[in-house]
Amino acid sequence: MLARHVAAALTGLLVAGGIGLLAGLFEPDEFWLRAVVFACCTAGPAYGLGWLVFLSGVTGEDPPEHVEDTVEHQWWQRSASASFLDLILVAGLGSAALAVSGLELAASSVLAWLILFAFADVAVRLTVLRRRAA
Amino acid sequence: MRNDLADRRQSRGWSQGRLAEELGVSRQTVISLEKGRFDPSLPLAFRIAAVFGCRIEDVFDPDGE
Repeated sequence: MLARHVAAALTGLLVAGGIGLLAGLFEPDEFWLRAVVFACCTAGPAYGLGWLVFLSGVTGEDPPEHVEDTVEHQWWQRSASASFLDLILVAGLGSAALAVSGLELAASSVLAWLILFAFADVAVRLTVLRRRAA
Repeated sequence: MRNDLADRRQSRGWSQGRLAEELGVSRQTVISLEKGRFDPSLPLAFRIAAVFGCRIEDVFDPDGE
């Protein structure tokens, strides 16, 4: 088990380091600053990837044989599809607001906020469905 | 959709977890089924009927909605 934890941590370090180096290469003048900032910011998700590969299969319970027939699967489908429609609505309203106001925003910021919105939307919808069933 | 899943399970002395194992689904799925808050897919309905040795319409009552 210790070896799996180490492998997950090493995977996180390698992936985050790789992303950091890649980000640094696009701005040679501030190579180390960009490399370190990007590596630090992506370390968490990168470790998550390592956990998924090396640990999730041995620390959690085995999934049911017919996952597609479970109520949790239905919750996920309902949440994801509703969140997709919410995302389109927000993107459409946001585009209209930007067109009317003439405000210019960085595409990377807008995309990041849309992703965060989608995550939060799915999480809230899943929680509500789970609470209703309890 | 109303059903008598809980009665059938209890008559066999099974826990919700045991029935979930027999059906290959989660315990929460069995809980939601028994409360009538989750309509099973057709394959799951067939497995439920097979586990209890009866027909689907013996377990589920569509008019009870």
